[in-house]
Amino acid sequence: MAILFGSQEWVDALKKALETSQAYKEAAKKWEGDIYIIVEPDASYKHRDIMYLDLWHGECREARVITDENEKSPKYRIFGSFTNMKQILDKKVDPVQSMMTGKIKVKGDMAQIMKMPRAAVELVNCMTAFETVFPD
Amino acid sequence: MKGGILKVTEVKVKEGKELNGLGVMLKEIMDTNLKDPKKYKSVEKVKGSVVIKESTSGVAVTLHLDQGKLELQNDAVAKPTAYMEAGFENLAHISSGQLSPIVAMLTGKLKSGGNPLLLLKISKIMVLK
Repeated sequence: MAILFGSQEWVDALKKALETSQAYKEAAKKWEGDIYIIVEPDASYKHRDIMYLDLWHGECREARVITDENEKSPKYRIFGSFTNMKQILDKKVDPVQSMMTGKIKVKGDMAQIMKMPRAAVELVNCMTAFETVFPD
Repeated sequence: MKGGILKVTEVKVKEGKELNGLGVMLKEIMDTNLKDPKKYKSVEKVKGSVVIKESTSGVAVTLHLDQGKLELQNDAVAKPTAYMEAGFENLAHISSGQLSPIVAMLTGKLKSGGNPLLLLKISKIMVLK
């Protein structure tokens, strides 16, 4: 069953995918730090969605939709417009390419990402491990 | 400098341009390294340009060096003094100090060309260690 992007069900499905992915566990076994995935509005989407993931040593300790950005101060913030995020989830665009071109921006401690680039790639792979539907 | 005044240096961005993602990452690493006087010294007197390219996406930036002034711009210039190219994961491993640039070159993980001395000097500010 396809899950609505940006919903609590979607972050729950992502948490489950992270928990069952051996590739993610292996790549992120030394990963320390929580993240915000911030979906920014554009011509085809009017909302600004924030999803919170607490990632620690290959585990996902918490995953939920956030309404107030100030609620947490995560180590990383991943930004992207709705259309750019959708292209990645539809597997139309390679996530590394989106990061390199700046369509998806990452703010936070670069040193850790540089040490574990595979963790970032596997995180995105988990987002595409289940079927997503997008709001109209 | 007498009196020990700390010189603050950072990589400038070519006017009027927003850097691509590769450039943003490299700028952050280089700015961190330039705070270390020893690392800054290795590029202080260097003149030239280096193209750095991520091979899977084809995204590139050019770093211009002019005697202590550093500037990043999007895309590859036509005739750089030196160039290097690697995939995202290998670039990341090099930048984090997990993979030596020399080993990466010898094993084909990093392709490079041009002035080797310049590449060696640049590697000092590209590696976080």
